[in-house]
Amino acid sequence: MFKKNSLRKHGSQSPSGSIRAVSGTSPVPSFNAVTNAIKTAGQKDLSDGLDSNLFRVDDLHHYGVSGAVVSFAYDPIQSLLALSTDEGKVYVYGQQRVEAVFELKTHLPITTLKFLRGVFVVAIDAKSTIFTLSLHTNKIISTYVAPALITAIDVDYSLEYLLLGLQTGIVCAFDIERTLFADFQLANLQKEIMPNVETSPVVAARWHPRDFGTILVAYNYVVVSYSIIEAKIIKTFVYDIPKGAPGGENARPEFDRFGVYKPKVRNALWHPNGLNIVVLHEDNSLVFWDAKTETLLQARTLFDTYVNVPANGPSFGSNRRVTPIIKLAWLCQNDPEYTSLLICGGDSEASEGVHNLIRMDFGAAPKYSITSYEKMGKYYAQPIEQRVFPVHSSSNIVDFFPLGESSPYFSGNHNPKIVAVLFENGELKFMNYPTGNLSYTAELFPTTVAWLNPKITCSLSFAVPKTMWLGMLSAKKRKLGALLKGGTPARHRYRKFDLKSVVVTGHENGYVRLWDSSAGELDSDSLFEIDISRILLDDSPEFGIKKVSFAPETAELSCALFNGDVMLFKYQKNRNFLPTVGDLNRRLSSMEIKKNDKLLNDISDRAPRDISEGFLPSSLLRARTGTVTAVCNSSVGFVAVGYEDGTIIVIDRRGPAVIYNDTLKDKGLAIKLVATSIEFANSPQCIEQGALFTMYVGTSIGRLLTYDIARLPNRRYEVKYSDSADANESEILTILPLMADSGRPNYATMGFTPSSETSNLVVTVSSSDIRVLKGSQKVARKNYGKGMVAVGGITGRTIGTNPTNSKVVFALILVLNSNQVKVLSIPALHDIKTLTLPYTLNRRYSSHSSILPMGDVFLRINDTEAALINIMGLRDTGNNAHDVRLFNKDLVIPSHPAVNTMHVMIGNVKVPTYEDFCMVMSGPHRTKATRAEAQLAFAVSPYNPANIKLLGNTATPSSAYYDEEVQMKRQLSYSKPKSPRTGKWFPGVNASMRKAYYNVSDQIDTAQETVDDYATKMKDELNAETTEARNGLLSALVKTKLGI
Amino acid sequence: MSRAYDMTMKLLLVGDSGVGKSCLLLRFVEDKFTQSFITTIGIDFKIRTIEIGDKKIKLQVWDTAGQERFRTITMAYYRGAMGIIIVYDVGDENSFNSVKKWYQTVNQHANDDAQLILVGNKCDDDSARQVSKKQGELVAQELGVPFLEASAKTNENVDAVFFQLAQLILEKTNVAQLAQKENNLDVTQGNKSSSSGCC
Ligand SMILES: Nc1nc2c(ncn2[C@@H]2O[C@H](COP(=O)(O)OP(=O)(O)OP(=O)(O)O)[C@@H](O)[C@H]2O)c(=O)[nH]1
Ligand SMILES: [Mg+2]
Repeated sequence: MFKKNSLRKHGSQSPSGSIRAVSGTSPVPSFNAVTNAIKTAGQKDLSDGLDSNLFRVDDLHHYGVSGAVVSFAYDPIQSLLALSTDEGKVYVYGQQRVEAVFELKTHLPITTLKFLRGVFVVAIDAKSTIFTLSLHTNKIISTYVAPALITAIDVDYSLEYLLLGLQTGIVCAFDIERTLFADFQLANLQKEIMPNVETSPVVAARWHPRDFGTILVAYNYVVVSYSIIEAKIIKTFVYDIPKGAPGGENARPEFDRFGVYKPKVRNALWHPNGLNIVVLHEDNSLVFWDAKTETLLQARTLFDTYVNVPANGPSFGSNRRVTPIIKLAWLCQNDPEYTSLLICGGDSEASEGVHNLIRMDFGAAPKYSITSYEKMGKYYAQPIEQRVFPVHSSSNIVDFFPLGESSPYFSGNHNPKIVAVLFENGELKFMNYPTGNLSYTAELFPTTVAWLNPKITCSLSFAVPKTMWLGMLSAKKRKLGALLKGGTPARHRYRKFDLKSVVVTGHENGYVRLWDSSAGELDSDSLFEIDISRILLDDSPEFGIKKVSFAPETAELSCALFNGDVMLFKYQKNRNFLPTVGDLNRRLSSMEIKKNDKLLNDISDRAPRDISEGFLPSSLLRARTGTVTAVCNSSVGFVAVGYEDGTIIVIDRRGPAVIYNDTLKDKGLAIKLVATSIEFANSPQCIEQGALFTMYVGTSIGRLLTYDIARLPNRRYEVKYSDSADANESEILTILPLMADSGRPNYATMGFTPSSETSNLVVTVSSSDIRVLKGSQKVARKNYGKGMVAVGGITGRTIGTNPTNSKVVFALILVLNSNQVKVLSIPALHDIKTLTLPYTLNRRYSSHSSILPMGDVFLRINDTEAALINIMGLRDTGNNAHDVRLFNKDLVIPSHPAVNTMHVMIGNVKVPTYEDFCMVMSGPHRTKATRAEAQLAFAVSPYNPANIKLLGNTATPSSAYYDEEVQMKRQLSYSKPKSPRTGKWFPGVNASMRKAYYNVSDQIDTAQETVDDYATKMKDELNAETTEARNGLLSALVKTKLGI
Repeated sequence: MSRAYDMTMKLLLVGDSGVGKSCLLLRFVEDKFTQSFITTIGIDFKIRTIEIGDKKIKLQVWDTAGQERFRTITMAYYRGAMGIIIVYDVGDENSFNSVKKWYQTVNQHANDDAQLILVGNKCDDDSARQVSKKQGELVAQELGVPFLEASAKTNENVDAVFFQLAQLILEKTNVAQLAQKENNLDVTQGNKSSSSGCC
């Protein structure tokens, strides 16, 4: 009868209520009480009491992005970052736990992504549909199909107009606040200038960086600067190469009747001061012009200069074709007169692909008033520094995005410290700028971005006792603050357990990360990262992570690399800690690990010296027998590794020493046996023979091998083969040793007290069937289709509400590739429940999923995505969580960079006010923008009179500023920063205001974490012999608590 | 305006990390020296125009990263190089032992006609010396390449390294150009004969 009651409690009441009842009204039942309960029940069914209505799918969290990343955007004001994928999704990230997804109604790649006016994101797909997204409501505001293919796009962060160039050669402007095209339109100017030349699309269209009344428009054969205000062409730039001049590397000798070659224009950019322009041509020449006078200053390629000048001698070896330059950006420092060009492509032969970025650092621009054109030519011919930055990846670079920090102006290129690099396969990497080294530091980036970078090669999840994890965390060095600070996070939604769940990901380039997933989302603040490339001083692909195994009780970790090496780590204090030593010490350690030719090598000297405590390398196992197929780091100091040729090696970490090394063979049949899974269990029944542990090895043909591990008199351990059983039909994926009388997992633990009453039950999970064995006796069996089973595991649950009648029961959980989760009873394997997943699993990755205690299931969905679900309704708190907020209306956009005095003088330019400009763009009868977003955009706009005081004491960009008298008195210089109104780039963003706002993130969710008896017991099972490791961790925690 | 030179030469510096490649180049191009060690990431590129005889030669020099992890990307740059400077540090035996490895990599990836030169750098520091001049000469002989000891710090032999290499390349190209003229004739003849051949 009590059973029914307890079921109702769990099943029909709100789960949080029932849990509170458990922890509040009754003390935690002791281990004995539970075993007794089972004993008295006298039943074999270890899942007794689990009813189908206890199970349901709660979708807790989603990790990663779906599809390959195709575009990227960064907003330094709102401190947000956006990604778009080839599956029509846009993701926006801010500080920890700020993440929003926009699903656009398109299956085309979103090729353009831009932040605008604080509150908007504009996304344009491959077929020129313009989506306007709101950061206020996290919804799509409008979808608009352009009248012709968009071939050029530019935005000015402070303006509501998108500058669009079309296939037809027309330039127009889209007003995102009114979601319509503005009156302004510019006919195909090349047609006007060169009526006889074939019509050209708009190749590039650019707002002048300091005067939105002026634009630069590039066509195939001519580049034009144009005044929107005066509706007239300012200057035209036409480049040709005479016969005898080498031209760019990809020049073709196609001379017209005047004997010149006119390479087509590919791109055009303004210098950040707006006085010079650079034009990229199809032969890879970069042509620098004086914008005011149409004077050609320099025509060069990446490595050659004056390429438009006929040469005397033959240019040696110049007839090789190189990759086309696919992107260039004119970056500037905080002072925008200090500039450099960042270029992608054009440096290597076409067959080699694009794997580098090239930086030409020009330094400060010479003073315009005193320099000659020739000097300017030389300035562009001889950068202060020119460097090729390799960006390691097998894939080609397709784009890059500087993360301009100082302002959103200058096309987002204002003082970047990081450059995002995008690859053909959808990978995204980050390069520190200008040093050029790649940054993988997960703490810096939003979790999802870190999750994807470098690419995940393997994953798993498990539970660890909370105290242990917190102990580790307390010792962790707090590193640099996160890159993003924007948004207001959603509240923690889920109930947390007393066990921490940890997700482990192995990555390319030798990264292993341990994430705390207890709260659903992955928290990069409490993340452990092992950088193997730093330990081995090599980040080649062969150092990608194939498999990881972690022993929570001893904080030991083993990982197998793609090259077949296995590295052993242990969480510990660094004896060689030298806080002041930076990266320099890397050179001091013996450089080539290749010299270590032994099977087991000590690599403890390779621990990075600047880590005081953490996962430090101890040994490197180099068997040279091919790929690793299974690795298990037990909690009792043994590590077993299986290789593709059938070799099994067992290491005793205490030596460390190799204590077993043999190759699996089938004596009768000449079939290959390969270990596909390994597990260590306590060995209760063999105690008389002196065996302490059992090692189970699951093989490729479904055979389960059993080995005894015994202690020899000399305190060494011995591994001896003892038995085998043909358990499964396919390769064994998981071995689950259970106590036969309780169903409790019986993984090897140090302080296990054997009793002859307990014996082991072993559940073996293969990709097509499940088998339960007791000794070599087969208890139960269940079949699924071939390759149907992705992963299997045990989960437990307390049934009953008070010490006398409660017990913990267990069930086998399977994740099937049919997107289902099966709950099966133990040991009979009866179906208790079949749940359907809200995800489509990709078979290639689904086996990287894990079953955790308490009903959590970590699902690896595909290459880039994963999810956390709970199947027992134990995570729901009933907390009314609020949604993530992205937009912050307190962050005022800084003033627009103004034209430099010289510009005003020599060009006699009239720079319009914002109001005048809008008048020209949209006409006098412009409708009022009514959306809330338009009002919010105005609230943070630098053109809003209310903000002018905030932004600085000078007026709006109105006539006063352009008073020539005033200007004349200022120094006529080409080189000084013209931060117009205050000399600061963040005049409007009141520091304290910003800070106060960002402190919201520190509001840690204080929701009471409830205790669950099962979790507590699991923790209690950490016994005496492992306390050494644990005490170390705990003492660290205690010390920080006491402030020592 | 005219191109201010008669010829462009592409040169490459290789050798273990820390042997002083970047310092040699900095000394050669800007006549500077720096004591601090900033390891090169990727490849640095610098230009200097020199005169040999009546020829103005523009030297484009690629200074590669010595660290193992950049090996693949730097190799892509070997191909276009006409001259390659293999550098070791006379005060670091390991870097000297690496010379043969560098020689092999260069041979595998560079053009066949690329001119090599071996340089033992940091010859200013006698107290740290681990590799004698004689040892350097012997290896150079074995590999059949010219050899110089130099110091970026004291500017000893730095210009000499680049000038000697440029001179050797110049001689080679003159010969090659002559040969090519003859070759061109050969090619046309060859074509004729093959078009009339059987098979
Ligand atoms: N005494 C002495 N020291 C030198 C000389 N040349 C370079 N060094 C020092 O050697 C160190 C390394 O020099 P770099 O030129 O940066 O080495 P590198 O070969 O470019 O190294 P990577 O860029 O890592 O491949 C610096 O600390 C220099 O000061 C020299 O001629 N004499
Ligand atoms: Mg260097």
